[in-house]
Amino acid sequence: MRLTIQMLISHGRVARKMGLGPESRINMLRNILTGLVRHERIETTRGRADEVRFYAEKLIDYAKKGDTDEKAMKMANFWLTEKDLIPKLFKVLAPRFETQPKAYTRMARIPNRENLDKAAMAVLEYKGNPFPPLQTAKRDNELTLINQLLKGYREQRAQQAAAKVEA
Amino acid sequence: MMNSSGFVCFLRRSLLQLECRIIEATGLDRQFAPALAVHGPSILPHPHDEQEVTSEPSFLDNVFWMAAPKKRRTIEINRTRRRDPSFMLKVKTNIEPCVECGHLKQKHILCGFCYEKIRKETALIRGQIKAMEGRPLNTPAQETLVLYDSESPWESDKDKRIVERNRKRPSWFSIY
Repeated sequence: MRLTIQMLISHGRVARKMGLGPESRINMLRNILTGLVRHERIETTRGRADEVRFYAEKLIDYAKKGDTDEKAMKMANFWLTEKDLIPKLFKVLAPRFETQPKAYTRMARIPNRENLDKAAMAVLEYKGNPFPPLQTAKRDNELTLINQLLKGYREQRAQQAAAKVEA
Repeated sequence: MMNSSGFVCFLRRSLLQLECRIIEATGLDRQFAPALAVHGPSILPHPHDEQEVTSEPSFLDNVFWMAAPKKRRTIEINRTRRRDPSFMLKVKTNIEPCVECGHLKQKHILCGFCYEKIRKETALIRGQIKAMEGRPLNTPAQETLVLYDSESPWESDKDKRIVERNRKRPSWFSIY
């Protein structure tokens, strides 16, 4: 291996460094992924959520092959440390995303953690979970100051126009 | 900036001293003279009186080579350095009021108040699920559906496990 400057710059490297090394990183991601499959919505730091997303979606792709497939079962067995989630993965999550080709997860950013570290947090969820939705459809709120002022202005103009018509 | 001649003198003196020290260490300066010589170790400290008076203090003893400010920095210069924009707090233009509740939020981050509401409700739902499951690691291979007061499941929800919540459905948790 040539010790070049290229080695110090991370050209095109997608995987973040996490934990104590590559093995520790995979173990951490495995724990987070197990939690995600169990609870279907979890809060973690932004970097970890971003890393787990890839693995979460790949796991669903493997699960879609069916539980008779040997490779899929091996993957599920490795990635899910709590073995009561394997039936849930194959019988609940895989059929849920049958029609969808790609995007099974949703990640949204949250205000920083309240602890001393003020870590940047994110919430990661599988779509179609039973919990309340994170984002409702955007509707313009009439009670904001600007909208109230605009409403008053519109009413004023309407009154003036009515007064002109009468006169 | 020291002048070159002074530097040259210093170099010459230090080289001469170095030479003396080397000769003394190797023992080349000693004449093997008899009679009045004293029996003792060869590396005796020789009287250096003549040399000490003439030699200048060595490089490291002299403080004249250390960097030091020449002039007092005026308050104007200090102010311009301290108030440089790179050190000042940056003004954030990405703060706006949340549409739902009116609390302030950053544009790319969920509203803290709204998320806290959702989180509390999710925690209560999870409490119900835990009570239903009984022991840990007992997840059923079924979808879950959350129903509030006076709500009944549809035809398509037959296979799902129902989680009951004893309250009215919140406005921000629509069924669809």
